Amino acid sequence: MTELQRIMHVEDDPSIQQVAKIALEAVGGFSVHTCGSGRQALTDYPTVKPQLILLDVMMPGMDGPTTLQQLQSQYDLTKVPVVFMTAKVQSNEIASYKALGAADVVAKPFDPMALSNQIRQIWLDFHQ
Amino acid sequence: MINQRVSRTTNFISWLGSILLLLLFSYLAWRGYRLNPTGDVLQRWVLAFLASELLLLTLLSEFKRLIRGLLQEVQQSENLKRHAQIEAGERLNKIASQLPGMVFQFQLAPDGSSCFPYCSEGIRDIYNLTPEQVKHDASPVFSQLHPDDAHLVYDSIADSAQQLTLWKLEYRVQRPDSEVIWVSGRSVPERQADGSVLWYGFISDITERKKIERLKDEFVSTVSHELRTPLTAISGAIGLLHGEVFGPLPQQAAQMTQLAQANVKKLQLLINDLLDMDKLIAGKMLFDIQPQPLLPIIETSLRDNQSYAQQYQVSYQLQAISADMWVNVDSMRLQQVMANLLSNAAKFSPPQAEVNIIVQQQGDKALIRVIDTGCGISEQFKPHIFSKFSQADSSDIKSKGGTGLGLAISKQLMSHMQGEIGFQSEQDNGSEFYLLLPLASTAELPEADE
Repeated sequence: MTELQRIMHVEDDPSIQQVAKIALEAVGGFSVHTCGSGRQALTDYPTVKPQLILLDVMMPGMDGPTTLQQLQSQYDLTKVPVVFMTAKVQSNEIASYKALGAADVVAKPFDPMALSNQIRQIWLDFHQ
Repeated sequence: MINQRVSRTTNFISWLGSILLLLLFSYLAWRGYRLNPTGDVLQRWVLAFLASELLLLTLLSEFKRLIRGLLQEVQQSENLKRHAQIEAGERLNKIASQLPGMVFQFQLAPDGSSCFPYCSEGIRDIYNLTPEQVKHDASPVFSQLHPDDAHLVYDSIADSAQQLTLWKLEYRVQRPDSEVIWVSGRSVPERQADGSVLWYGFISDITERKKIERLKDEFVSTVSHELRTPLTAISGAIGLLHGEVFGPLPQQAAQMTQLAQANVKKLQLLINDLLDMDKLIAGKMLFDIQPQPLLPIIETSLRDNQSYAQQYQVSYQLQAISADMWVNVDSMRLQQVMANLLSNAAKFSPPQAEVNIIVQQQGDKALIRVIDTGCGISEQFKPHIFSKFSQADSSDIKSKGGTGLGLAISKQLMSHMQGEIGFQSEQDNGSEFYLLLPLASTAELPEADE
């Protein structure tokens, strides 16, 4: 199993983009490519070739679940775990994200110092 | 009523008059006989005949008057009844027309046919029909049910008819002009002698209420997203600073980031409490209830709240008298209840105090006790402790923070998990909060590996 390095973060809020990028790069040592929308994620995916996608659920235009469905229909994501980031973490909501094909869910607000470990653990669980 | 009394009095006077006349003529006949004792038989008989004829005529006349009076009385009584009925009907219609909906009697016959024997004018606002249109056949109403809700209406009516229980339903009506409205119906059934069922009820338009509910849901969803998004960025940025990702911070700057972090946490809890209460009220909070061992949930709760207790220099001491109990709970929600009790216990305990958590079995229930040595609860506040936004009225207690929603939410959560929450406390003498949860039955437990 290869080590996790490239992460695509899809998030419309610039402040959260910045915090997550620093948290993952400075704390976790990952390389993060940030997309401001679901459409940008669909365009950038072939060039970035991320190993893991961190996807916001509520975004204007194309929301997280639609972005995931579009990515799945256009690219092979069998080896790329997709992790939803959302404040909506009721058990039924988590179950619905997983039913869509999400590997896991990270609750917002997240702890920036713990985020990298959380993502690394999801990566390990996905490839076990 | 007055007429009836007058009529009865007149009858009585007539009878009294008749009796007096009878007595008078009898007396005259007797006097005629006595005054003329030597008169011949013919004379006596003529006198007696005249007297009796006169009496008979008087009696007949009185009898006629009596019968006429009785007939008039019956007629008047009938008129009064009819008038009262018309008046009652008009009164009902007037009252019903002021109600924001339709008042009705709905009858379902054994052969399945149905009608509205009575229906107020309000049916025009609900179904755009007149009472006459449905008096003998209810099908114009049923043809307007929204296709997605029609089966709900039919099933609920069938259930109500079968069990003679209250019919109560909210459903949509698609009117001929394609407008869709929400209505709420409620009626009580009664079995009739002919085997039919007759409901007495009321249907009102709740479209506005539904719109407001939807707006409220959207508002809550927006608040949830719009408040949490900046909060995520703020807590993330402060977390990175406090985690010294950009290098070590001067001591005072570190103190400030810690302060900011603690307050962001408070704000998060406040938003979460508000959203949780809203979900509970709306019945939209979903529970993932599974049979599971109790002790690990309690241990996790203690671990998660340890740092909070340290802020108040308080320590938690766990005593597991019964260690192997299984309960049917949503572990996240039970942890939420425990977090509330543990944080309250820490908040209101003096520094260096111990909060004891005792887990034991009580009959067929698991009992979790959280015992502190804090300031206790006043008698005045005890009845309000599980009410929303309740906090003891003391600036000292308010300064401890909190939304006043925690215990209200905990009570609701426990009730959803078939559990109980309670307390005993004496002012200045500590408090004990306890949770009671039914033990999972052995049939519910997963089979042990062989």
